[in-house]
Order: sequence, then C-alpha cells, then structure tokens
Amino acid sequence: MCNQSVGLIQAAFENEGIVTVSISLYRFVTEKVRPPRALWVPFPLGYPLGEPHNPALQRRVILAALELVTADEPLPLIRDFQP
Amino acid sequence: MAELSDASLLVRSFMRAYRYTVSNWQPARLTKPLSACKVGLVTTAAFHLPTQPTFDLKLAGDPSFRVIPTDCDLTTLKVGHTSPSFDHTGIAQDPNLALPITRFQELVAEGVVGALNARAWSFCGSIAKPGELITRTAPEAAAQARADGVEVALLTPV
Repeated sequence: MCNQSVGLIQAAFENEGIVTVSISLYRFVTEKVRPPRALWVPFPLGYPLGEPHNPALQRRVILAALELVTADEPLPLIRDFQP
Repeated sequence: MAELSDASLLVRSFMRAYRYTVSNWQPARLTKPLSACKVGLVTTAAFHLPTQPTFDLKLAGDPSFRVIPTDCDLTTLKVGHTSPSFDHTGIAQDPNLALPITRFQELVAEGVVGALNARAWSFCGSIAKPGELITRTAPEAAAQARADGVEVALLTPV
C-alpha cells in the first residue's frame, strides 16, 4: 500500500508545479499507479534507501533518484537502480 | 529485493485482487539547475515527533500527515507504522533510511542541491481506501510545499 500512497501523494506535489521523484520497492505496484518518475530499488520493504547507517549507499540511491528529475525522457518514467 | 512471494498469504491475496488507483498529474519541469533548487522530503514511513499524535491504523488507513521540522533531532522520531508487512527495525535504527534529512544536509553543503526545505511531510502508507488522501490531505501537504517554495520533492515508501 505504501507504494500506491507514495504515487498518489507524488501526483499532488507534481500538480503544484513541483518536480517529483519517488522510490519504488514494488515495481508492479508503481507500474499500475504510474507516478511521474520513480526509481525502483532492489531492497526489502522498509529499506527504501538501502541499509541503515550506510550513508554511502543512501547517497547513491538519492543521487540516482535525482537524475530522473533532470532526465529528458517521456513520462511516466521508471528506472531501475543498479547497486 | 521486495518480493510479493515473501508476503503472508493474506497480504498476497489482497494485493493480487486489489484495484490500484492510477495517479493523476500534469508534468512539472525544472527551470533551473538542481544546485539552485529547494528540495522537500516526503515519506510514508509514519514518522512523528514525540509531541505529535501517532497514526490511527484502522483498516482503511489514516490519510493524515505530520509535519517534521528538518532541524529536528532524528533520534527522537517515533515510527507510528505498525504494519506487520515490513521490517521496521531499519528505519527505527536510522530514520535517514526513509527520511534522508542528514543526507540532504550533506548534499546542500556540497552544493549538489540548493536547499533542504525547513519541513518534511510524513504519512502512514497503509491506506487501502485512498479517497481522502487524494482529495484532501495530499493536496494540503503539496500546497504547503508550494507555499514554502519547494521545487523538487523526493518521496519514499516503506
């Protein structure tokens, strides 16, 4: 449900003119909800940025997500994070 | 990797039968580099301050949100999510795992992004009936973000 909720909140932010990107843990849910931009990550539920107390991994996920914000590609856009 | 096969039979059956809501949006576009943008953070990890009410995990879900000041002491955040569908220990140990305030303070200091907004938005993601989320609470949080001058938002589920 979290992946759907994120996509629906994301739509509200995008509609305010804010460029949004979300993390996806369940790709099949994100494909159905179709938010503007999402980075699918191969982590378990509860671990959207990888691991606790692993700033380097968290940072890599964040930077990969931010790349979608400036990507010149058709929307909706789902990209897979490469660990 | 989050696999549906790892979920309980009840959750698997529910998720297979559930009719997901398609999000409805108009694309926004950046008009300046990220290094000049103010970033807002949104999570559905149900974080709340000790002084804020927790979330009401009734069956349909709690569409309310808590405003988290990004200068708060992250170690004091509570996790209001009690869903058995995921492991809570990671976000309880390190809130940055879902609400990466410290990571963005670092990115601001390095000039990768312009600024981190003074408030973040925390929802509880277990919302099976998202009507009020779509019509009332998500637009309310988004309007706050716009009023704050947020230009880019990162959203994380759990």
